[in-house]
Amino acid sequence: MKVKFTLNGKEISIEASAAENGRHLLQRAGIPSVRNSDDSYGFAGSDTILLDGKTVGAGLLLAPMLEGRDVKTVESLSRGRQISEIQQAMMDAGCIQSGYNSPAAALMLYDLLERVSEPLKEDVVDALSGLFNRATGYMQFFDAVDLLVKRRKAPGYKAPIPEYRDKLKVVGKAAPKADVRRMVAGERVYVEDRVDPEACFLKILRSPHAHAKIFSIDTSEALAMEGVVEVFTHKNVPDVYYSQAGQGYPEPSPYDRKLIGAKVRHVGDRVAAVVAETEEAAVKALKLIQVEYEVLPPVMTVEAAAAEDAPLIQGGLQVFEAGAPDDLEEMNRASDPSEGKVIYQFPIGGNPRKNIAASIDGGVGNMEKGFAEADVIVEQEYETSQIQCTPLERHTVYTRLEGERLIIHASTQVPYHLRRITATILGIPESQVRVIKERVGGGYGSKQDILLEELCAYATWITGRPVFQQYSREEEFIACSTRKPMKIRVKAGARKDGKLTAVSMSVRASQGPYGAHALTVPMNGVSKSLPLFDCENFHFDVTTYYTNIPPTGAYQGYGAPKGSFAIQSAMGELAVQLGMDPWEFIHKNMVRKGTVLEIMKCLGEGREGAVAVVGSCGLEGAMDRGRELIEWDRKERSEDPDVKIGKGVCIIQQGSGLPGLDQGNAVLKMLGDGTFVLHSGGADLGTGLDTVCTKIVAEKLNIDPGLVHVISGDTDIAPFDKGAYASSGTFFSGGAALRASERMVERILEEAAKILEEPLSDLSIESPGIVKGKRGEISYRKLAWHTQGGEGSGQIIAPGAFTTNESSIPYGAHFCQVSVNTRTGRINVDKYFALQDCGTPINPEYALGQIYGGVLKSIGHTLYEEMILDEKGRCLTTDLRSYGVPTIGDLPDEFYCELVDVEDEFGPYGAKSVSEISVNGAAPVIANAVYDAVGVRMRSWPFSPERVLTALGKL
Amino acid sequence: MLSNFYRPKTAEEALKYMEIGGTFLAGGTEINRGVSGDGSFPGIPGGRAEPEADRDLIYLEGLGLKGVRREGDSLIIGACSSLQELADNPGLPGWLRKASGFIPSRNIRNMATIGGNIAARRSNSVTLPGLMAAGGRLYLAGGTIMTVEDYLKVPDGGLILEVEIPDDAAPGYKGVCRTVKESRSRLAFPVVTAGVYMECDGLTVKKLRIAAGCGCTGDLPGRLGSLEEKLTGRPLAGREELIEVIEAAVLPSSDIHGSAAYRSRVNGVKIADLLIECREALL
Repeated sequence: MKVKFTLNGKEISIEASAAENGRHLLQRAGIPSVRNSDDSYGFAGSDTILLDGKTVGAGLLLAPMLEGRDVKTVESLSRGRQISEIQQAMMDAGCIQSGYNSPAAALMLYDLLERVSEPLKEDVVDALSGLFNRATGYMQFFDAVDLLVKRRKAPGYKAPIPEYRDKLKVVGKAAPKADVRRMVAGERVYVEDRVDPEACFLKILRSPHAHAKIFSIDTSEALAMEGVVEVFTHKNVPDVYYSQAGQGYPEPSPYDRKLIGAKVRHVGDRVAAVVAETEEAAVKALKLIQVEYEVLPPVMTVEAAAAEDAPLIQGGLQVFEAGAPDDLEEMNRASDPSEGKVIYQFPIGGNPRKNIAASIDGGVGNMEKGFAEADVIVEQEYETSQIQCTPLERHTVYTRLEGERLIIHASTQVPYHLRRITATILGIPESQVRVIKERVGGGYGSKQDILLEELCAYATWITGRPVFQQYSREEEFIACSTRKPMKIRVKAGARKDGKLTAVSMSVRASQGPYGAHALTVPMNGVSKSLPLFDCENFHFDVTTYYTNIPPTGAYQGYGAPKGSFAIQSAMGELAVQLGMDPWEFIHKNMVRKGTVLEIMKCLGEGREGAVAVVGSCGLEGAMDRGRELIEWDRKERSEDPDVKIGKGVCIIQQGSGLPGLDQGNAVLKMLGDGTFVLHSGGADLGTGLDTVCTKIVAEKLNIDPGLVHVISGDTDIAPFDKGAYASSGTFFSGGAALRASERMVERILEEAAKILEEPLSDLSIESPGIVKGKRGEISYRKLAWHTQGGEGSGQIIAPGAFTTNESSIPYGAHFCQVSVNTRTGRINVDKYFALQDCGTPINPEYALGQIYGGVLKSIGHTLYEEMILDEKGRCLTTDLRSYGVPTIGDLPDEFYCELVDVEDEFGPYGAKSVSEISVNGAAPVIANAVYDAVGVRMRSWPFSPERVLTALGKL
Repeated sequence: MLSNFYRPKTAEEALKYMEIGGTFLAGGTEINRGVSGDGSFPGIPGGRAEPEADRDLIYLEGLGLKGVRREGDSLIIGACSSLQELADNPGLPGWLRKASGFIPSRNIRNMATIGGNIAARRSNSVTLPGLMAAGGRLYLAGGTIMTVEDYLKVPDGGLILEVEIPDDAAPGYKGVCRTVKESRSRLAFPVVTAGVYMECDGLTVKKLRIAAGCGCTGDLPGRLGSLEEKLTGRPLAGREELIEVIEAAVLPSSDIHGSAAYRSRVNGVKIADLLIECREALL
């Protein structure tokens, strides 16, 4: 049928089937900004349009419902390259990071401002009530509206964003990221926007069983179907084992999977992959594949995995590339070749014969002595649940061939690891693979892992066809990377005066079926929580068990949020046992600048660690400021006798990349007019890393940032970088940009010295892009002309590599006030204050946005979010609403984040990391506040109303 | 797959299409939910349901079922009025405006209609408990008028044209009606949706209607008849006693949103609060 309607002011007529989804039709009509985050469940709002002037979800419309209607999308707000005032305000307020549904937010706010000229906070909450934003925690949307209202009265009004470092011109000052205008305007910047019309579609047949062997599989009927190009099963994929963990080589994660295995190990595991010319054909073909399974008992918990007679999840042959144990032959005697292999690059304490994926222990001091010196000892177990990253842009990849080369358009945090892993599986050199990281619509760790790219690449490599694959939201839950459930036992002792004498931590983690990050995530839970305290005696042990839960991997914070929950809760309990104020207890025992972290020598994440010394540290300032903000000494009382109010405090830390393990690289080129292009290996996943690099270059070269263009994430163009994980972006990739800039300055001065005929020592770089000597001066433009001319010495190109053995640790303190309804069990977060030190905040507005986003996310983990599995391993919460992500209506009543100003010794311009640390505070600080309110200790996530009532003895 | 998409101009025409197997479509938030034009189904056996096979849809947009009018002591609401229109309408009773706002997303409120919300018969419907408590009636195509409760008793209740509710601003209106919703987070599925209508004679509860969803009365929202009987004709009991009798009267089962014990408890607490709120409003 023909559907006629008005689209952005123009009447259009478009052929459509009656069943076509409205969002799909609009995309066909040339509107990329109407996106799909929730498979038309009407939750995320990424598909928002204005239908007859009202915001609705296009994914809930069928094509014929548009007949005769007036449809406006975000494209209607722009005039050519000129965006609207609300979009500009969003940019200036720092609202836009991953940007996937920023067009939707812009439309919602546009609609609001059409209805209400000076909106109140509740109006903004209502306007954005249908928007799921995972990146920035919503707070800057209020700022954007406020900014616009003020600008309408006083044009030119600037957003009141804090600025840092008076001596620096661009670092520490607010400036919109280079990519946000395109994002908020709804331009084509994501992988899904790169797909050619002739592309095939890849769909996966997934296992209905948590643990089973494939007895037989028949794909003949599917293969014979019209439009089906190829079907892959365990029978026709390479016999190559690998890890999906996007980590530096040699990885500490075992290689324990193939593209498709003969054994399925979780509900949702790959059974077969269909490549077809249309999506409909691919879906239909999946149903024609006949599979017979030999169903095995699933192992769903660490206790079940550790049981004497537990079914083995990885029962295959163990192989060690280095450091094989002496009894390997004996261990392998009972292995089952049909279960494949587990290949370790080096020992990580794994023993698949006992379902152990990895283990380690260590410590410093004398625990026996430490506990003997304690007057009070607490010992408790804390439990964290399996949670999902929920990026708005689902996992997406598009692969194609250019001649004999494989091109991968990816939404990834690790372009170079993706290139390496894919090349290895395909058995081709890395030079034959190009990864182009597009803008990433949210990663949060789950895009550190290679979850679909390698199979799609293989499909293209074999068929020669361009292939597109995009996860459904359900696949995000059952076949993705999630946060490992953990049980952490903490024993901590202190003297009567509050001085810690010993702390031990015993971690048991449920890994799921494959070993991605099996060692490093739980270890990180230790290494980012114990070193917050100055104590002579520490011990830890970590055991990660293979289980049949959906796969786990990396999630923002890595292991730290779980370790932090356990340790900070235990410290809260210890303070209570000591009869000491929790703030005083933390303040007495926390590390300070100069504290020697002996424990770090045991926490090397797969290699030998090194003793570290606390450098820049904002803990003191954060503790003082938080105490002041929350009015720590004032006891609050509710007018409702059933509602009890309490306050909590905790301290947090993270890292800034992996010293000694990782590396960043950049190459800076001077162009013909004296402007610059930086080829950065860094992977900007929406956080503003490209802008960090831009500012660093501009600052060093004394030029306007508009004269620097950053090209990143393209493995053909930019040099190697470890990728965006472990809070490494600013420190490592930014560090590489600084090194390249420093080298560029040297080269510029060398060339200028020759031209000006002055000694190097007489030259300096001045603004705007001029080399000044005692006798003369030369602009970068002229310098470029000289160096790139027939008599020149060649284009000035400056590489920079960044490695370090120094640990620059960001610190923070979180404070909150909660109201606990003792009749319903509901916890309301009345106030939340996050005080964090990230060294010099290079992009202050985005640093703050990441803190707000991280805190709200972790409030969600603490109070609402839950992957619920049944006894057969099926996830029952496979949509965003059932799963329970927080939205704008769940913001704390008073929510404020502040950057504690410290300058780091090692980071570029004194910067450290900011994003990941933000998720480490909510669980323990809320648990501590709940205890203060009602005297019960929440030791298991999420703190649902039911769990609160149970803890209160009311259920 | 969808076979035909009809656009009737009259109720009679709509009924004809229904007789040949069509399904009514209003805002689309229920029927179109999860239907993906680009076929993004994960292909997992036993996974999410796919679109029904060979379905005809009858789009009600052309019937003009919009707006609110007064008729005697009643308010008559067009079935295709969106929940946002109801939430924004100052002429409507507070309980209905509030219940309409229980749909937490403005996008959804702009699309979802009151008729659709009723016809979808969701256990956690935000409007049904309030409508049942208020004594709402439905005007159906073909001339039938029935209470909301009766409509739910008939598996395929027919095409709703209008919804009638008592006008609480009318001189003869004696009681108060209140609604409540409780969910873990703002956008989470509710664990309580309830409505209470109460009339009192002094301290004595003279007339009481209590309706609840979220599994309290089985798969559909419904009246808590025995509870109403127990609480009528006497002064309202104290809060703890109310919670106890309500907990005994509701029968939710365990699901992903909570155990039966928790759900009973939270419904007991919230409905007790609602009863007390009604009594205080009357006093």
